[in-house]
Amino acid sequence: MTASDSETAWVQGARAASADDFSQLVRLNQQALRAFLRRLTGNHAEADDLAQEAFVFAWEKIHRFDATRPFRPWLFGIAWRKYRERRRGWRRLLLRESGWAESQATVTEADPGLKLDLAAACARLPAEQRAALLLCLGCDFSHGEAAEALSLPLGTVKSHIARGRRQLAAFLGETP
Amino acid sequence: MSERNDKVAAMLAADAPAGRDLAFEIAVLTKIERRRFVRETARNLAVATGVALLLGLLMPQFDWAGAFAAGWNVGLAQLSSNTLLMAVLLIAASAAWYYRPRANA
Repeated sequence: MTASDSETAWVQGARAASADDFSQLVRLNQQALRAFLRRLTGNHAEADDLAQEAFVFAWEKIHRFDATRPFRPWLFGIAWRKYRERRRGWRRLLLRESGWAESQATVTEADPGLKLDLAAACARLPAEQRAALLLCLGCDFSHGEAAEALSLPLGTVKSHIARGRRQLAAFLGETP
Repeated sequence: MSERNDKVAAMLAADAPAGRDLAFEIAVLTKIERRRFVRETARNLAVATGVALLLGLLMPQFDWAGAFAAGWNVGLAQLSSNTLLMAVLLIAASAAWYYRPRANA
């Protein structure tokens, strides 16, 4: 049984209200989803909170999910929408800003050079561009999957990635 | 271009969380159970309130003295057949709604 077969079986199980199968899906996807959200938000605590919300929402709406399609883009799409909803709230904005300062301190402790540069470079990209770049370069999404997750046209995702890559390289002091 | 992509991808992967995080998985499942509990409680409360209101409306028509003296059929005779039918239908509909097959129990 391949990983894809296992995922399909777990999705079917979760649709039949199996919490065990859904926990397998959580186990399978938590690392990539949290890494994506950490880069997107710049705050580990907020990212984990968003990831949990996304998983809970996925559980509640999994009966609407088309089991013939891949699960990951759907899940990441939920997380992306949760992130955007949260950005709209001004209270959340204040929390995020204070959390961002804290996370910077954490990142600096972990690795002063590389991580700080990358975090700063990512933070300067527009949210959609950052998300597209993170999905395709950081989470091995195809352009099509990223387009599905972000609810964007394929061409827009491709241009976001090309532009984002150039800007990231420029921020990191490389010549494109 | 590919070398740069690999470099960026490696940098992005460098700060990823652990592949297995039990605390996170338990937190997700706890949230799911908590929401389910709150939803079930709210639904049960709504059903109980509805039933209580219905009984409150119906009870004044019920002849308690007649029921205890001569049997339940005498007491129930005071209720109009329409009211009885409505009550039966309401209870049947509530039971059907409560025990309906669901994707997520």
